[in-house]
Amino acid sequence: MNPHIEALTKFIQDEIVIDDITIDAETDLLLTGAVDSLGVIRITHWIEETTGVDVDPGDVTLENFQTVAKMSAYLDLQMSA
Amino acid sequence: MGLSGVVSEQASRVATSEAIVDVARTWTYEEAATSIERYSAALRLVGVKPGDRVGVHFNKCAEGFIAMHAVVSAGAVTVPLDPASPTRRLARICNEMDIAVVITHKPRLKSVRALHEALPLRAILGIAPEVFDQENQSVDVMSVEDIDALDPEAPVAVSPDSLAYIVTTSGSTGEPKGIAHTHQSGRAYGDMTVAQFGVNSTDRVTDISPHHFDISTFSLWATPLAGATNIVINEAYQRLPASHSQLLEDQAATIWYSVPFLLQQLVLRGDLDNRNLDALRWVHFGGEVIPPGIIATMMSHCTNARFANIFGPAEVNHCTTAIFDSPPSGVGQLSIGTPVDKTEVRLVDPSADSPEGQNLVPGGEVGELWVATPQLMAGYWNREALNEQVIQSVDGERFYRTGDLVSESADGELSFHGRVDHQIKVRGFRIEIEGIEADLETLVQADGIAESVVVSVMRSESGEDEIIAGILGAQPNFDGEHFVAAAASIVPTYAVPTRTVLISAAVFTGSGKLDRRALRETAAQMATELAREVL
Repeated sequence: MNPHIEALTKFIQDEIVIDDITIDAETDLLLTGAVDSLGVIRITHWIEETTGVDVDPGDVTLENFQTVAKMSAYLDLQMSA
Repeated sequence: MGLSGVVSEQASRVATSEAIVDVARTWTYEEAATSIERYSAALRLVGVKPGDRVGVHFNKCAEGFIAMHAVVSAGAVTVPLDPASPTRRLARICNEMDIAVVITHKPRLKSVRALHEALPLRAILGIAPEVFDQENQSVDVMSVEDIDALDPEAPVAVSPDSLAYIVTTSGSTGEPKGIAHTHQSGRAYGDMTVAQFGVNSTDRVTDISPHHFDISTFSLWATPLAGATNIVINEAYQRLPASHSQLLEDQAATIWYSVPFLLQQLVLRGDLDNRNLDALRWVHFGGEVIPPGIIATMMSHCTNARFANIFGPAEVNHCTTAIFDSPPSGVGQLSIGTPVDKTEVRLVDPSADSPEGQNLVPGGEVGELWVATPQLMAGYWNREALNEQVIQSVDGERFYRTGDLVSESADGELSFHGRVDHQIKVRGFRIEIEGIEADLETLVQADGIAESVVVSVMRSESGEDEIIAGILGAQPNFDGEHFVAAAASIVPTYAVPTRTVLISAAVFTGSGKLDRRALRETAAQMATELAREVL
């Protein structure tokens, strides 16, 4: 498994998820209510701290943050740039 | 003139205009009206009669709008059920209002199943029977496909004083309080606000707030009354401000209306430097206090828009407006402006009891806001004693005592100074501190993990409000995370404390009662200090 997917899934499941929702790489984190606005902010902070990627607020969109898989793809792109 | 058939009337005028735009599809007025009339037929089919209460349980989407209109067009009373509330709270609301039928959709399957188990329900519309798949077959389940196959039923005529919708808020004892509006009071609000802001068929209005929250009544009633278009901004867009702002640009939204929290999110994280918001002509916000700096920054990004602070409890929907064409001055409370059309306000001395409503405070001083308006609710559902207390006749006018403390300046501008009781707002949601404390107190005492709980609000470094719980007399095994999880099962999501602090010494008032006010301050102070240490 892509190491970003593993680490992101674990962090979001353990620290962010609201209610008893179990997430995987493809779970829609936003429409299911698993992650709220403050959760999104904590995830971007965590990404910046653990990967060193500087997340532009304009990148925090549905295309990049709807699922763990999308976040991971976004990170891969940022880190190879 | 009520709220029944509002969409159908527009369908005969502007059939092909867009009524509501969602991510997946767009409904023209004709399509929306047909869908509403089919849901009305389905309600009739499962035995809903005029006056019956029907639950409407959706995440933010166009189908929720259609369901709300279907219930009122069938002459029944629509009760939006908060998708974020725990089952126990929803079951309590359904029991109190005798709700046996719910319109919903598949994303709410899990919570509808839980609600049915807790009640049970008589009928569920909007989910396929094979998907619902409950062993208990005593419930009527109808899929969207089955409903779409029904013949549309024309909206029924209703008397103006019959109930149209009930929104629930947390009461002072933690019990849900149902604010019951009539066709007349809802329509009076819709007509007033359409006229005040000149809403017309070219407007594209954001539909953001959940239907149990009174801000949603603008997109719910005013938009179709004006033949305008609703743009659904669902929870995913709300949580991602850069996507939210992109949608505003792509859909050329002309009227934005929601809580200051979302406006703040747009300003801080909405990438507004790279957006064109020239189509916006009104930015409305209400429900809580807003930092003036947020308005100033937002104004620089949408130069064609006027800004309005919309003030008023759900009991009257909207009673005063302050309009800003330039950034407000940086300090102090934002003005709440002047009363809307056909609305009279009085500032009553809260310490003088008799004669009720006659002791007005002198100019410039703070008094309790009393409001007389055709937009006033019929009353709280099933709360006769409370209704007598809050709705009073003065000089032949029906006045609502808001419990809000307000002053009036020499030039007639009103300012808000807090609550007579301890109600607060966090991200636009009304929370009655004492009610939540009572619920949490029951929890810790039942589990024997602490003696008492106070609830307070902390403003974090980022400017967001957080609810915190101060725990008194905690047992050594007290576990903050466990407490927060348990709290989430009994109080609304928006009222669940996000952190706990342990208070080691109790403080008492002169009469020997716990000094809750002082303890709340202690808790807020401790939490703020802890948060700083972490940073």
